[in-house]
Amino acid sequence: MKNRQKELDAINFHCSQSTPTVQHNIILLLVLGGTIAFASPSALGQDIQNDSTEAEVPEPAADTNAEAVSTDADTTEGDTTAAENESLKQQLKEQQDAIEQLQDAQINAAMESEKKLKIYGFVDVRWYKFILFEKPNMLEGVVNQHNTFVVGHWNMFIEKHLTDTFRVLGEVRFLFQPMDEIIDYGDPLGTQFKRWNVQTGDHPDGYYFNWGGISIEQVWVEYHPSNYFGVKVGKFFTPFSSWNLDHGPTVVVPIHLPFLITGKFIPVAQTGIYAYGRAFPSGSTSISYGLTLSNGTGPSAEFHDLDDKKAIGAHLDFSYNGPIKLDVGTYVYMGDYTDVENNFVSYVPLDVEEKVVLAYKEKAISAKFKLEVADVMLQSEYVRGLVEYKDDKRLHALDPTMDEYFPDFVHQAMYALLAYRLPFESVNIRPFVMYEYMEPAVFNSTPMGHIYEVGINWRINAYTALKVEFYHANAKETSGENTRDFEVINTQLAVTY
Amino acid sequence: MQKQQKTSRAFLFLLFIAGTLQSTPLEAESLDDILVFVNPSNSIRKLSVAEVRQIFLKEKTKWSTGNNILCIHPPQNVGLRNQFRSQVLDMTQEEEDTYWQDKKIRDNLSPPVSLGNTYRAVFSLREGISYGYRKDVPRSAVKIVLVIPAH
Repeated sequence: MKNRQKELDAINFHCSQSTPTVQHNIILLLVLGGTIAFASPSALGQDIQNDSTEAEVPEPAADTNAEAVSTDADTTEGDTTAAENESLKQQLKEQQDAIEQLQDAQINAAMESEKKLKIYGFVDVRWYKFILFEKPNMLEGVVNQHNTFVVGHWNMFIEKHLTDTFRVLGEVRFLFQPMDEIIDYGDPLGTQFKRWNVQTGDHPDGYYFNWGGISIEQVWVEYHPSNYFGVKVGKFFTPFSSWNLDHGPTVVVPIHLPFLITGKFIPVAQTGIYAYGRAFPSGSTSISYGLTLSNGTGPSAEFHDLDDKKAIGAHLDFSYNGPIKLDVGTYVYMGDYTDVENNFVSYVPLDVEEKVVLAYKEKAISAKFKLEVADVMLQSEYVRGLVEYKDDKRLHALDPTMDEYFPDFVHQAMYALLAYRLPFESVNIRPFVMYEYMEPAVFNSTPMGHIYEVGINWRINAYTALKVEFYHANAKETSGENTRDFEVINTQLAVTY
Repeated sequence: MQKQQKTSRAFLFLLFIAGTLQSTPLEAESLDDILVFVNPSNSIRKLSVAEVRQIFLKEKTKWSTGNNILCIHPPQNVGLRNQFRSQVLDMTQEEEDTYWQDKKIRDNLSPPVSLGNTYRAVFSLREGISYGYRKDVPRSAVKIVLVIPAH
């Protein structure tokens, strides 16, 4: 205990010489003390006199001779100075003790802050316009060609470290949807156009507003006892693609997410267990690995797995962070999609039948590559998926009057992005070009084709990015003379908080 | 009595001057070797610059014992912090701020804490790791695991 105190004293001695906060505190005290002493000659001096002289040194007698008075006075003054110094030292010691207590409180507070409930997130606001240069175009009347402001994301994370190894995290996205969801397009046969009505009345205040939705993006409990092993249980983001886990709009270079993520090749999030780890072969390299076991996909995968077959996946990533930065990785996934209908067969006796109406097996593999050399970044990803239907559980073709079903199919997508940070020290602006290839699922409304994109990403500061992009989507599919090509000009202000 | 007051004022004045003189190097601290240190009970013997970088960027978050690594920076805008950022993290302050803002969303991790007395903190916390100038580090109280020569 004594040794510990000695060492602490040693630390405090060092810190009183060197640590800026402590220095500042002491200096501040001294400056304040000095200021008081000079501003008010009696203030500190009087206190010292009161504390040390008045009580101990008797007043000289009025009739004592001058020499005696002088000698006594010198002695008294010498004693007083020593006492005064002692008093100042004592004050300094007290102040140092107070500073140490503050430092300990600061250390405790800093450690406690790691375990406090944390709330953070991101917001992005966009302005975009669809342009259909080539006409006639199948998208006329389908896409909104008027220029539009839109709130893209408002995501909020809530996180709490329960212990050093346990934590809980939830991420929700607040949405205006289902506003503007079109239920039916009108047609000449008499079908009325129907849009989802989300208007409701706020009776206390007497006005109407549109209610919105909340999407639970991820929510999990994590146990992370070592670098080599951790496990998340709940709904977690699938560890594929650079911009799936890392989905903050200030990080994603373009505005729109690549089709590779949104095209349902691999579920962006899964409900189940994710066991993962990371090894560090050297100071500049790391290998991340993990296994996923989940309900897979389905109409209510977060809630009910409608078959007993669990989806499995595995990822392996390598990262090098040296004179260049390199990230490569792969994720493989295999799971079953099952949809059922529950129908009453009879009410008395009660008999409900569960009937599988759609079932298929999904197999997918993805690969990612990212290279940063000086101010140049090259990023590319690829995903390929195979869908194999169970024989009598195929998806019915779009025309319900025909006895036609979708075949098994392969779908795939890739993108390549090249970005360059302009050589301005104080301004982080990255122009970029991007190419995307899309070969979607047969039932997907997105056409097969290519996207050619140019844009600028300006990272204004750590919290904010401003982006502008223009892209041309060149669809392979046409219907007669109609094209499905389109162009989009898009701007985004993204903020993390 | 007047002599007492003069002495006390002179003493305080000297301290005031000393304080003023001492405060100058805070603004423009001269470069010195940086020592990275851990708690004496930590079994780790040495670290490389790259490993320290991994730790302070929270790529590596656990000691081999499984305990969380508690990285502790000195306060912002101190010469030592800037030198460490430049020599070890290989970043500017803007890049570091951006890194942590992105890391928060990607890995849900917040930046290391900043404390005034890093020596006291590392001495008090078994999982702590921090750094200081060679001339300042109290070697009897912490374990040195890396020396980074001044450029």
